[in-house]
Amino acid sequence: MGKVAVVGIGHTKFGKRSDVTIRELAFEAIKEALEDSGLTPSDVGFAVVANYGGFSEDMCPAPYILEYAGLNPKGAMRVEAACASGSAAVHAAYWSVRSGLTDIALAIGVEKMFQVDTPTAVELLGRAGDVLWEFIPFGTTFPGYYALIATDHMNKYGTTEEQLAMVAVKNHKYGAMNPLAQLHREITVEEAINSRVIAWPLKLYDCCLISDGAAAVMLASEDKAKKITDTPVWIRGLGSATDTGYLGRRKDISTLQATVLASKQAYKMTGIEPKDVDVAEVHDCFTIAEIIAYEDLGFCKKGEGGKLIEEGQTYIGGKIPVNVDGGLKSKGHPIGASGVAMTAEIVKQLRGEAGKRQVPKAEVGLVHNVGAAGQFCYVTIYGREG
Amino acid sequence: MEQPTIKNTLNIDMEIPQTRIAKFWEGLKQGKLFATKCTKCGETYFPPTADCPRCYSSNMNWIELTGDAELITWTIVHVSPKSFSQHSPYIIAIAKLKEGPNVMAWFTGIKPEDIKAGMKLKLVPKYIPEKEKLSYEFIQSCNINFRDGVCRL
Ligand SMILES: [Zn+2]
Repeated sequence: MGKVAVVGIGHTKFGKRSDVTIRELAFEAIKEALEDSGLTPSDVGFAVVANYGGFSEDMCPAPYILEYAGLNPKGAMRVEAACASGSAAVHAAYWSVRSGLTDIALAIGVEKMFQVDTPTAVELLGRAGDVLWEFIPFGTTFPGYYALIATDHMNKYGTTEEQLAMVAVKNHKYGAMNPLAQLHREITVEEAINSRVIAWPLKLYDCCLISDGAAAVMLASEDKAKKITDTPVWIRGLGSATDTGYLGRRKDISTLQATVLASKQAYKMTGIEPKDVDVAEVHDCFTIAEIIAYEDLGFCKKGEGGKLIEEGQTYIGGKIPVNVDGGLKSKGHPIGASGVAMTAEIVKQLRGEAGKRQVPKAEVGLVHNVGAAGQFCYVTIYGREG
Repeated sequence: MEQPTIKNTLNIDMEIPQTRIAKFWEGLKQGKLFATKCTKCGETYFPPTADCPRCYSSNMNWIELTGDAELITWTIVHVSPKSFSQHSPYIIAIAKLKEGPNVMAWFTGIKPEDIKAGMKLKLVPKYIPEKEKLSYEFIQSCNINFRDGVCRL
C-alpha cells in the first residue's frame, strides 16, 4: 500500500509553436497522457499545473487550461519553482495520491516563451534571480549566474571550456535522435567553442534554448495503477531542497547544495545509491550545470565532472547515461514543462520505449530538476520495480 | 506564412519600499557603504537586511564597511536583459568582503585579461545624481587614489 506509479505520459514536440495558445499546447500533452493511460478527464481526481509565466497572456493559467481540457470541477493548483516548476508539479501530484486524498492525479507542465522577443525573455528569466540585489542593480542573467559558477569551477578544479563543449556535443547527438527535440543537429567541440559569447566563459552552445512545449504525467495509487497498466513506473524516492537566492550567501559557489541535499533524501528513501542509477535526466540548462550535477548527485567525485564527460561515461554504454533525450540543451527548456518532460522521458526509458536512444536494461531512473541557479532542487527516483 | 495573432502589451511600473533599510541608501549618497549587524548573534548582512534570519531578531546595528574584498568569481555578460541593452558587455563579480559576506556587483575599470581569482578589490559606493541612481561597484584595489570608478595608478 501507499505506492504511487506513473501510468500515462504526454510530451509535445518542443520548439517554436506560433500556431497554438498555451491552452491548446497544454491540451496536446494532456490528451496524450489520457490516451496513454486509457483514462478520461473524469477519472482525474486532482491536477497540478506548472508554469513560470510572464511570457504568455494568462497570469493565472491553470483554470483556463483545466477548462479547455475538460478537467473541471476537479481540484487543482498552479505551482511555480522557477525552472523546477515541472518537478514541483510531479511532487505535488504525488503527495495528493500518496496522502490518499485522490487515486489519480495529473501533473501538467507548459510554457510558451516565443510570444515575447529574446531580450524580453532574458529579462523575464533574469527576474527569477534576486530582483532587488542582483537583477535591478546589475542586470544579472541566467547565463551570467551559471557563468559565475563555471568560472569558479574552472579555477578550483581545472574544468575546461572543451569539457563544457563536450556536454553540448553529447546532448546535441541525442537531441538529433529525438523526434520531440527542438534541435536536430549534431555539433562539434570546435563549433561549440567558437560560438559567440553569451556570458563569458559560456558561449551560445553552452546555453539551453528558448522553447515552447508542454508535457503531462498521470499518477495513480498502487491499486489503480495495477488495473490501469501492465507497465507502471513506480516513484520510489523523492527529495527536495532550497538554497539562498543571493548567490553571495553560498559558502561554495560551484556546488549546488540543494542538489546534494535533495538527492541524499531521495537516495535514502529508496536505498538506491548513485551507482545503481541506470539512466538520468539532469538539469543541463547550461553545460556547466550538467557537469556539477554529475558531482552533486554523486555520479563522480566533486571536481571530476569534467573528466566524466571527457571519458564519455555519460553516453549510452558509459557508466551513467545522462540526458539521452537531448536534455534542456538540445531538446529544449520550456521552463514549466521541463520537469514533467524529464519525467516522461525516464518513464519511456524504464518502459523500454525510447527507441534508438534506449538505455539497455534500464531499471532505475533519476530525474534532477533545478530551479533558478540552485534556489530549488527536486530529485525523483523511478523504478520498474516498486 | 503569416500566422494570425492577437497583439497585446503589458507595461508594469512599481515602487519597492526601502524604508527599513533607508540608512543604507542615505549612506550611498554620502559615499559610505553600510551593512547591518545583528545585535543578538553578531552576523553581518550585506546587502543589508532589517531582520536576522538566523535568530529572528530585528535589532540590527549599522556598520560601515571598509570595502576591502577579495575576488572569488566573475563573468562578462554580453547578452543582456532588455533593460540593460545600453550597458553590455559588463563584468559581474562576486567577492568576499573583509567583514565576512560575499557580494555581487559590477567590476569596472579593468581589462578582462587582467582579472584573476583572489585579486584584491575595493567595493565603492556609486552615486549618479542626474539619474538619481545609487549603487555600488568593485574596482581594483590600489594604494593610489581612484576616481570615477577607475583605479588610477
Ligand atoms: Zn541574528
